Amino acid sequence: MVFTWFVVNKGSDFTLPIEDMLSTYLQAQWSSAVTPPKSIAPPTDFSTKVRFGDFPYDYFSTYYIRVKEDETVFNNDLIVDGTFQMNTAVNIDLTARRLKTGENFSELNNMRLEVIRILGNYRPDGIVGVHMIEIEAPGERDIEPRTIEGNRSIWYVRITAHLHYIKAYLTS
Amino acid sequence: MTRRIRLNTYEFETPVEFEVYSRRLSKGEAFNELNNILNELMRIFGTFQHEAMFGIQGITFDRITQIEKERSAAQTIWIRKLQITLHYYKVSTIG
Repeated sequence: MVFTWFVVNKGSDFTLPIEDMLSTYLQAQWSSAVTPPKSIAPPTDFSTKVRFGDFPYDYFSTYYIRVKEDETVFNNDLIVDGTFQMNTAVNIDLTARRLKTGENFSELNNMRLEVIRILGNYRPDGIVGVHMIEIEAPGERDIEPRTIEGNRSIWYVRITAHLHYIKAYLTS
Repeated sequence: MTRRIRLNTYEFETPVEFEVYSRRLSKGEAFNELNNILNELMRIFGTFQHEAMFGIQGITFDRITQIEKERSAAQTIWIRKLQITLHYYKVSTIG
């Protein structure tokens, strides 16, 4: 027997990690009118524009967005005949390397609003196979300092997105 | 977790974690094989019928962790974990 897995509405299984697909989607939807805009000429514009990645800290960028997958959970009520409803959390950490405290971080807030705008306007299958994205408490957290590897201090805001999709398999 | 549902009857839930490893050099390479292994585990436990393991009435899925890199001695390995829960009952009798 051969079991062929697919994501509903996609026709095949995911071939990339969820975090990579969401990162690509955010970059594609990032408006050119936002300050800061996304990086288009790396690495020369990293000092003024947003870089996306999945590593913890970027030494070269002033504004950096880490898109990092978290846990995937199941809806056990809907597991029927080889069908699995799944929900993958992805943490979107928006960070800025600025030296002064008490500074007005309009750029970081702009980044937060842009991520909310993109996720809030998500339509089914904007990422093929993902029928819904929920945003978890994007406005509840203030901009916070965070000390990371190497005793470096950055400012950051976290938004968590929950991507919903259904996986299933066919038997042949 | 244990819950006493009737006199001398106890409901048990035992979580079991599967650690799925891949010794590969790049993240993209590791993903497909890990995904296939997890798919197969999901298929197996998703089609579990009660008593297929004697005494186990049901299996539910809890979570899958993200891909993480682990460094052991001179090796880089990628890991994802699947946690499921086995449901069963135990009864005590007085003899």
